[in-house]
Amino acid sequence: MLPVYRERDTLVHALHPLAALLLVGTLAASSLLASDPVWAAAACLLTLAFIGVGGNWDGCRPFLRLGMWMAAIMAVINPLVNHQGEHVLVYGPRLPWWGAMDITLEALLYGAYAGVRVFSVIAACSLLATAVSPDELLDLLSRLALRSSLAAALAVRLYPGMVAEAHRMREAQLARGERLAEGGPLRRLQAHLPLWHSLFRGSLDRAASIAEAMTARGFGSGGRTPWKRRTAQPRDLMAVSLCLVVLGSLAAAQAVGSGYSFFPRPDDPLRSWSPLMPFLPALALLSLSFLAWSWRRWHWLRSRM
Amino acid sequence: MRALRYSLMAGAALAFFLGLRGAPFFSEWSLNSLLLAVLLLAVLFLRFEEREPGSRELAAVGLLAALAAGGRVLFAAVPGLQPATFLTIAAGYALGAEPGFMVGALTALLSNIFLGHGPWTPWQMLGWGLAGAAGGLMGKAFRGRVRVPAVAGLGTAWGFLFGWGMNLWFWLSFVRPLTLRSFTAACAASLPFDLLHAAGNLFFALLLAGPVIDMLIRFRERFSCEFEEASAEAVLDGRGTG
Amino acid sequence: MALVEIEDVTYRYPRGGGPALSGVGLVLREGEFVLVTGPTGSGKTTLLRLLNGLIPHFHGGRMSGRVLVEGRDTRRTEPRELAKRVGMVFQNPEDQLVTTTVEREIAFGLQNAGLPAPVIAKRVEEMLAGLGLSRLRSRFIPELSGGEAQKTALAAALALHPALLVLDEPTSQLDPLAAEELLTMVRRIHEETGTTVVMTEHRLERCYHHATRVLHMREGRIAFDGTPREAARWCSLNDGDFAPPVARVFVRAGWEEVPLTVNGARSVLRGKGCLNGRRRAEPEAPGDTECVSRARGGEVAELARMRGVHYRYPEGGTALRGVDFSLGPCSRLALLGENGAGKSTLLRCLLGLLRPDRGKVTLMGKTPSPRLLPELAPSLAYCPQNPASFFVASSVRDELRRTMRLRGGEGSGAEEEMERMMERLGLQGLGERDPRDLSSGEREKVILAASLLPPPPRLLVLDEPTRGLDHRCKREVVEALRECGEEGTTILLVTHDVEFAASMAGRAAIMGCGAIITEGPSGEVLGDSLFYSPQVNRLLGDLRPGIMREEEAVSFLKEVREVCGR
Repeated sequence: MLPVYRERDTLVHALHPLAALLLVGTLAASSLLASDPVWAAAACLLTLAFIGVGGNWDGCRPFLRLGMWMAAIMAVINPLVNHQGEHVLVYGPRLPWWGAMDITLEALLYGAYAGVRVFSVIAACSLLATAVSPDELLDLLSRLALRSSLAAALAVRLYPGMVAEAHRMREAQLARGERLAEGGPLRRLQAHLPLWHSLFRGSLDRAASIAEAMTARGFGSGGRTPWKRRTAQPRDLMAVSLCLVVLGSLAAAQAVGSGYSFFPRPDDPLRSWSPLMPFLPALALLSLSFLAWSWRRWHWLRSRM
Repeated sequence: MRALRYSLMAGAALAFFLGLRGAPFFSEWSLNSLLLAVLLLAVLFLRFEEREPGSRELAAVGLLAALAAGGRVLFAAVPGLQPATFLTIAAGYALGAEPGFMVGALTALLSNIFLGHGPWTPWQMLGWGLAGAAGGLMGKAFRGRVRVPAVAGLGTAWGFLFGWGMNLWFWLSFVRPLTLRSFTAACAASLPFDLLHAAGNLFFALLLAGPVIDMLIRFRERFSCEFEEASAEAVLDGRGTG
Repeated sequence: MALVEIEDVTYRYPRGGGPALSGVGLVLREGEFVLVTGPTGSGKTTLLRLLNGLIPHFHGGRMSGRVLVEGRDTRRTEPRELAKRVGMVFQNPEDQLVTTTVEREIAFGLQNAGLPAPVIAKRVEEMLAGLGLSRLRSRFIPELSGGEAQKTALAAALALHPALLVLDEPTSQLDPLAAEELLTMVRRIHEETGTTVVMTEHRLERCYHHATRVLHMREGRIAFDGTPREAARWCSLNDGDFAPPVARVFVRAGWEEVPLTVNGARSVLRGKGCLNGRRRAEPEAPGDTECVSRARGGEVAELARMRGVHYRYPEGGTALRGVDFSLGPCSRLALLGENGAGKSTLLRCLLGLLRPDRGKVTLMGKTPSPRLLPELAPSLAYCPQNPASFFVASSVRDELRRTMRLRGGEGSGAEEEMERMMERLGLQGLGERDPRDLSSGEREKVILAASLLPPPPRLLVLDEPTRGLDHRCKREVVEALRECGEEGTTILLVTHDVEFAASMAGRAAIMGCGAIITEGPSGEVLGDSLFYSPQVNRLLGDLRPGIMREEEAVSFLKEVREVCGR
């Protein structure tokens, strides 16, 4: 199982959830928004750099491992479904309707590129999962969708109790002599059915009690004051503006650029480069990493953020 | 709130249209599809909000989501066995389309806290949320009577639909070219998993749909009770209700 | 003006059952501390639900009469408005907290009331500081201990600055220390803020003397309403289980005085010149009351034994550090100790649900494991701490049948045995009920009935069987256990309840820091302690060393009365 959110002292932890959300979105978009493979690789490295120097590496590592697997799958699937391109490496058999099962160099390259993209998206999302408090994300949601966020908070709060209850039940039934740990999977599943049934029934009773407690504490129709504790800090402003620079320059570059194509033959990745792309977004991403680094290492700047 | 919902729907339609026309940014389907998924989710969340669900409904939704997420995490290692899908459909069937959607969406949100959040989260939220909504529509069509075969059918179908939905995300984001052929290939690759998922749903539905939906309906009815003022004698006699 | 006026309320819940309240009239004035006592099903909880409009707004049902809170009729007032004036704390901490962290939980009610954000922030801080919760501010709710969770619930109720605080058995799920802390806090709130308090509670010895008024309920009516002292006398004479133990002992022994606490009782005795003011030294060790001779088939082998058992939970935290103990046939051992001392872990290791890191466990001559348990089912019964986790069937009878099947006790005569057992434990008429709908006392008795079904188990393991039970249920449980002990069943009992341990067990052991600190005959272990000794021992231990049970105390006090009266 992957690790979940844990309190740490890093920049992402310290950001306003909205700013953190934008930051994660920017990191993910930076590799998706440009079609040229060199930039995709660079964006991926910059994302990793941000995670590394910001002190989020430990939390994110299991996600990165998952990302590697996903990237490998992408690299394999693309050449199998895509047969465009001039340089055919392996001539495959011809299938009806499908066409020739050729494997081309271009498709391989595209697969690698897709792998890098999926990896860096997962890396960015790992920050969201490990460094942004779910509570604060729910608070954010509660401004727009109060009841949904309350239901979500309830689910989060009840989950551990549910798991513990299931565990206790299993133990109690085992001690009673129920054969839960024997036989094939189907037999075991069957032995567990009454337990689930009972757990379900107990949960509904619990839902009734909770609803009663909510009513007793004045939950009902009508307005409700939103919970607000975090106020925007200079660091949020800095992070947001850097993110906007990255997103803006990438979007602008895409609007003016001709777009990179792998097929029928890979374009020259350096052909479309300009100061706007990729140097400006790269600089902004590096500055973000710098902010994350100073949060941990440079007291002077930190005290002013 | 309704105005916001309609404008979000209009926004989603616009983004989709721009994507088709190849506008910059919107033609990058990996991003555009995420945007569409998030907008669609927002629309459905707002729809849930508009009904102003009361404390009982919220408590039930929260608990069912926790239960389904627990089931999902518990069986994460077993491909195909996915009690979350079945529970969501059952919740929708008994409680209605909107709560059903909410149970499904929250299940994905909650279980991914443990299994890993990623760009797939909004899609899974949609996949399960719509399963709950479909269950709700089916429950409405049968007016609350429990029809196990129908639930089993929906569960089986959803095993495939869910898989195809996830393929859609995967295909839009990371596979090129975007042709029917490559999409078919992605679906063919995931077929074994989808088959298992569908079979698991069928199994759960046949075994558990009856009692589970029954309990949920009883839970709902237990709280639709009315208050009545009466004379002391009438209360003591227990005439009328009882 | 009275704070609450209940005018002749008769009420019936919408589904099933008779009238929950009949003809209840009551006036609560500001500043009172009202304790509501009464057996299960007497309408205590229903009465509390009237006070904040949960009846009728949440529960529906049929009602006559009316309830006025600060002059407003609850039927015509939104629950939202009532919540601002009446704060409520429920029984189970698990079932009443709705958000994810402590500070959000405290803010929940304030947000519902629509107070401005700065006021909410202020109130939250105030509650965190006032109830000593500051260091738990952003703790995830499921990670709180029971006591901390109840304190959070109390803070959340109090944050709205209610005029009336209603508590429904707030300590029934807590261990004694946490319970004491919570009750102290409630008393402090009452004294320092003048908030009116209405509570139900089954640990009468802890709160009777704090109350300014006691209501005793029976069958949906208020049977007695008066000062604690009057109520203690009335209850001792009419409904003995619901009087505080010290008062009951004195009244039953025929004394005129009705002391409510140990200290009060001792000053009564002192006043009569019965105490010579100095505690006698070491109590003489009373004989071990084991029934070794009754062991079946002359078995002498130990039923269970642990040697040097260590266990450490994978998520951290050492639970057992070298536990040694053995359990012979026909013995009755009570295991006491504070929370986290490792009592439950010891039981888990003993049953093979956990595999110890080091050391050796033998259970009936074998090394226990989950696979062994079905084999042992006929001779081993386990009552888990949380009754809810025991039940899987949808009726009490099915539950018992299920146990019967698992223990291989099926066959002719099984049904009759079952009916006899239900009768013995007073469960007639509950056979078709869903066990989860029963009261906690009834549930405990169902589990006991299931455990004691023939063939009687050789070893009965109980994990806190008296949690949340009132004195009457406890007495019934004790009787059933004594009977089964006499039939030759060995009992291993984990409990926080010293009175229960003293009345049940021949031997007692105290655990601390994952090891057994002391073990011996219960009179010796429990008598020689300030906090682990039963109340009657604290009261009379220096006059009659080794006194452990209420009956002994009553007969002793009768003697004392005759001697001193003369």
